[in-house]
Amino acid sequence: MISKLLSSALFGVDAFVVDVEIDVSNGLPSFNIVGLPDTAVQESKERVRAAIKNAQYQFPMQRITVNLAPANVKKEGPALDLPIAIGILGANKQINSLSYNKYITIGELSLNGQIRPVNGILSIALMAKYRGIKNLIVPQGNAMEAGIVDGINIYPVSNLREVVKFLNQEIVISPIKVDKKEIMKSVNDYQIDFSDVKGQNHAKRALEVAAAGSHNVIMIGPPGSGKTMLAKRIPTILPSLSMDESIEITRLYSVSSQSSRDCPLMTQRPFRSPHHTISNIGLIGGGRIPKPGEISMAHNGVLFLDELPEFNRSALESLRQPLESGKVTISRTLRSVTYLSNFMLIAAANPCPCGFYGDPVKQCTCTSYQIRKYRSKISGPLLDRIDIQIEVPRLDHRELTNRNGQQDTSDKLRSRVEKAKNIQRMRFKDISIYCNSQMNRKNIEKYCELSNKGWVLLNKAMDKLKLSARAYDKILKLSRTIADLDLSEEINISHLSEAIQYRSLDREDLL
Amino acid sequence: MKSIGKIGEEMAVQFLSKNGYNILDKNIKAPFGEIDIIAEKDNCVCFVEVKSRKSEKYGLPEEAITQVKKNKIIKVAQFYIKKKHIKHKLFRFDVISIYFNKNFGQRIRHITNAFSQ
Repeated sequence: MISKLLSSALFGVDAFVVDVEIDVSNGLPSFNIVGLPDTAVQESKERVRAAIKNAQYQFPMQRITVNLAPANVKKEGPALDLPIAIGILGANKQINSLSYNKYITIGELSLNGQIRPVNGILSIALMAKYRGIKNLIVPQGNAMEAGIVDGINIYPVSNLREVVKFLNQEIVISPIKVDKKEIMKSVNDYQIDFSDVKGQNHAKRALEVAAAGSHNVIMIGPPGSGKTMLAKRIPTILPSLSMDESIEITRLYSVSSQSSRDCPLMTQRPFRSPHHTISNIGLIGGGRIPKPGEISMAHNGVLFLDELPEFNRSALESLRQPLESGKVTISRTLRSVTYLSNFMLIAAANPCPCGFYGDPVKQCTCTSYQIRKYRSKISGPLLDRIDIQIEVPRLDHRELTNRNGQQDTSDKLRSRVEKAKNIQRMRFKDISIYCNSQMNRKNIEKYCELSNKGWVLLNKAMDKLKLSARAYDKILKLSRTIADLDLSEEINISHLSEAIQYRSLDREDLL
Repeated sequence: MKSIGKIGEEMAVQFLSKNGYNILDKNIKAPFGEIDIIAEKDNCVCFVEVKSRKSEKYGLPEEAITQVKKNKIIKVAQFYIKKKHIKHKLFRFDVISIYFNKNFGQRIRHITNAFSQ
């Protein structure tokens, strides 16, 4: 007897439909899986055999052949356990009516017939909706995540017996309902606050602008001036996620099995701060079967690179493309996968190896050769891609002990950022970008109109600072964000000049 | 004097008959191997390998069946199925292990579906 049912496997962050065909016929007992299964799928034989037996069903001692179509794409992971088991029981008439294209079945089996959660369920649910397949049978542990996609029925199941009874129409499982609003209700419960950082108002303002328009920032200053402290507090002022952004992030975290099972959607922007010993592949993504790297895990969020010059030079240079395009294509012999990587880069660095170059109090002990060598680690092209370049100078101890000074709290900053973000959301509602930093040339021409005086100033700055064409665009985008923060329709001279002064590395010999 | 193996095979035949199996053949030989007993019950043909041991010093009797031995049995089974034209039936590979002990008599263990192709 032959039985046929639908399941799904992953390719990068995208899912595709897998036809699981099972033939059970007389002959010497054997169990073969064909159709490019990987090791985890091959091993499912043993899990399926044990699970069927331990769920008190009969495993047919006959000739079993499983085919996974399309046969030319490699299938990974244990998610095909459940459809194979169901197919065998269907071919063996232990399930009465198995309708081929009614359900997509997904799940990993444990030896006792329990169903374990699998990776990438959100992608699978989205694909099912796109393909017009209305019903999904998914592990209980994944049900919430799949339930985010509306318009399809998600049936959560926890063991093999339950699935068989459900398909035999002996029991009824009601499709899961997820209250998206409730999940998206962002919780801003942070232990840290921007008001913890005394002084450094210039840096705080720059980070506020960066958070509002998702611009890249580099902070340069002596050790102990508060660069890391500032960066750590960036998540507290990041604007809330939109549903689309949240789904993009969740898909990435789900396929790399980093999503949490209790919270189906990622409701906060990711903040990734990899150590500087990270490898190229760890940063960009890769492997024999390409997995997303830190830049993709920081998608729609922040990638914080502390001690930037300490990073492997080639790792830093590999950031150049994704910084521009917001995605990264990783090609390996087996396949090539594109992952989204639209992140906001926050970098921190010392001005020289000893850290005190240009410090008003402490003398720098580095030789000029050492300084040159240190600085050459950060290339011009990389710096050119960083919109905001700021100095975080040594903090005067009198400012540190000052108890009267009013510091802006994270809440206050966030409400301003949120307002600017809403303006951007309205502006880009018809095009598929979320923030000012993602504007392309056409968008810049449309949305970044300057007054005559503005053009004169910008041209002057270009001449004087010898800026690149990219820096020109970056300044326009940045001034758009500053104007948005000011709730101003037009970009004024003051907005423009603030944007220009953030290119401090083009201006002086700071780094 | 009969060898331990022969005694064991005879005991296995008795054991199977007692349990409602119809013995089809014994000691089927092919150029590449041998099957001890072929029995049938409920339209299912069982190819039975018998292993006997006097002591557990060298491991359990059923442990002595290696992958090479399994492959041989499978080959002979295919040969037998072809010769007797019984392709339409169900098949099974069983192991019967017999452990002789001076003090307690013997212990017979029948492992159904012991292995498959």
